[in-house]
Amino acid sequence: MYKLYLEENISSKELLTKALKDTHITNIDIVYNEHGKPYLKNSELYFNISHDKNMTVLVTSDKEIGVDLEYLTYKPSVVNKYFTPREQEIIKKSKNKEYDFTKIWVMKEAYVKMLGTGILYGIERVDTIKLEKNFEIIDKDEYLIAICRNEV
Amino acid sequence: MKEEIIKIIAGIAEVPEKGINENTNLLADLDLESLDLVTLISEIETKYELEIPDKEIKKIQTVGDIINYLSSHV
Repeated sequence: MYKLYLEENISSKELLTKALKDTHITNIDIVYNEHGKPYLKNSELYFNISHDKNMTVLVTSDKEIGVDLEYLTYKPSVVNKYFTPREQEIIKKSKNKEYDFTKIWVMKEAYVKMLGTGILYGIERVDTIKLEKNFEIIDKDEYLIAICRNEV
Repeated sequence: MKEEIIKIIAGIAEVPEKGINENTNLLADLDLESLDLVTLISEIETKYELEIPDKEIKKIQTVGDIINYLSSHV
């Protein structure tokens, strides 16, 4: 189970403060793991945040969770370097390359953010086709959001 | 090479080239997101026909860091 908060024109800190009003947590004390993933100190509640342009998304959960938000885009050079052969094939055949590129990217990033291992490490090995059942995709206007739960 | 790198970064960050110099920090000054960073790395690798190892990517903080790396590897 997770809760999702999505708002325009709000900072990550403001959205986190709003989200924690729904909980018993009154003191927002954040600690980071060695790769920079934030956690609430002395709390069992996990959270993850992403923002792009003027949209911010935050998820809270009782398990490790990752979220990524991107405005629809298409970066061919990223496909060549960071997508698996099967993902590259999907893009090659796609009739909507912006949508399919963004969807695969937010899934990859949400997965790595769930693991908390740092975004630049091993993202090319994240196989979103194999891991598909772990994701929920939300389509919001021109943005795509991927939520990755720790059920791998 | 410096001008080429700045042109690529300006395009990805959507800022004017004149606002970027060797001391510009990719995250703090240009607010690049992770997708911007991997786009930058992949475009540089394609242009200069090389592969930058992850451990070297981790060290890159400024525009000058990229220029210095490429100067010794291209």
